[in-house]
Amino acid sequence: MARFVCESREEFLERLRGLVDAGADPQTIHVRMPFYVPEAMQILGERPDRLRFFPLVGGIAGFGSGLALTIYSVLSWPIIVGGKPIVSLPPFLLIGYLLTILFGAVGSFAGFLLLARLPSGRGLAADGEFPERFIIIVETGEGE
Amino acid sequence: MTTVTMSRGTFPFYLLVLVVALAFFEYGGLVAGEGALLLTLVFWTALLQGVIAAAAVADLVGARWITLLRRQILAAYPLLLVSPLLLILLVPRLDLYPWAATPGQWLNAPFFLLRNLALLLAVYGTGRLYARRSLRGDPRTPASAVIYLFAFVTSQTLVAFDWVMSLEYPWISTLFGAYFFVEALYAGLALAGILCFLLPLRQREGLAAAEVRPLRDIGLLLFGFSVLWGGLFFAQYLLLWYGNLPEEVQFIARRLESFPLRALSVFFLTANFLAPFLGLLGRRAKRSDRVVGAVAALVLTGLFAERLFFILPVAPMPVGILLVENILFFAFWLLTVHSREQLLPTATERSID
Repeated sequence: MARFVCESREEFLERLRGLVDAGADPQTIHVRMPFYVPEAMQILGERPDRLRFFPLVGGIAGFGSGLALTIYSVLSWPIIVGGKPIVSLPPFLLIGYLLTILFGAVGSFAGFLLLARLPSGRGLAADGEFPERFIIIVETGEGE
Repeated sequence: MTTVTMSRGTFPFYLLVLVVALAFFEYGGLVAGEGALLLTLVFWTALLQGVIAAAAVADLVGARWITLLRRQILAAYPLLLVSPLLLILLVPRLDLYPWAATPGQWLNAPFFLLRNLALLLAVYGTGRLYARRSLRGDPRTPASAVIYLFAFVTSQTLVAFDWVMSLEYPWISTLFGAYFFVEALYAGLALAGILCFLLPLRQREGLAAAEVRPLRDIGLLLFGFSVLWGGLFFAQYLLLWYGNLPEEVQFIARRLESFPLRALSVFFLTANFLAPFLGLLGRRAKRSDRVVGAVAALVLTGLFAERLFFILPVAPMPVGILLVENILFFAFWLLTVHSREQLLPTATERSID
């Protein structure tokens, strides 16, 4: 495993670009940054993280829950309103839509907490502390 | 291989050929039916005005996706002149409108023609000014983009109220205007998506990751507009459904009771909302020119089907003539994009505005 410590953003990006140009597999490169640098993600091919699945699952669950809640409610208390059928999908879609947003947002936040290992701070500094520095770690398969 | 290209000198001739060909198919007595020209006009007016509007919005907000596609998109601006010409061709068809027999203060043939012609010419004038400034990199581009967008929104609102909604007079929907100009913008973005797909390979090869952004941004915008379109459609539908008033519901009920229109409604709902939403949900899909191109083509087909859904019950039309007219228009648009270097001003050309 090779580790490079860079003092500035420019030096960090230059080193990172050099490593990728020299043929290092972006999958084996890990970076630690004091703040988010989008260019670094572009150089590394923007590997998607797992956070995106949380709002997707939350949204689908929300939509299903919204429909289930409304249909279950009207079937349990069947009152004809305005001559419409008991199970009338158009207004139920609104509840489904709102719960899609709610569950999607809550799912995102929960996913963020889970992936960032919050509220516990123990996992955050697993690789040591490098305040105000950019670190590039390249897995070489040797000396690990 | 030699290809046909237009120059600024020959463009009016080609334009005249297009208009005469459309007039021949409409009035040549080949088959009976009277709605094909109206549908072609409504669809292509939205498409051409919408694609220039998409570029104007992108210029206004400083979007980066426009830089790679500016000349291809703005090649459509000379075609804005086709709409007023086709509107004049539509004069013998004005008896399609129920108000033609009992004209009122707003809905009467002379005023209808006058206001629509004036607005279409205003859209052409403002579109030309914006496009030429944008192509030259003029610092006054944002101001002309705002003026064009104002003309675009007004024109599309009038297209909705005058050309389409008044076919079912006295049926009214106050959302129709907004619905139409949002759809026109959606159609414009879909046309930009098709352009991304049609870009010659040599322009796509070797693009760095940062340069794939136009494609991803257009994919994102198409995705966003599919949700907006779904929202507007649903807002209109829910109010009609909930109110259940005979004078409002008859517009939809009449269209949903027979086979082809019912199938069309399912198709355009799928093509304009479900397919773009699900198809462009993934990150990889938004970066694939094939997926974005296919979704864009589907959206355009869906919007065409929706216009057909609105107009067909009032103005029956032969499918053959409808297809020929629209293929002719599409081919002419492709020819304009192909001849863009001859038709459009360059950045160094002297200002003549």
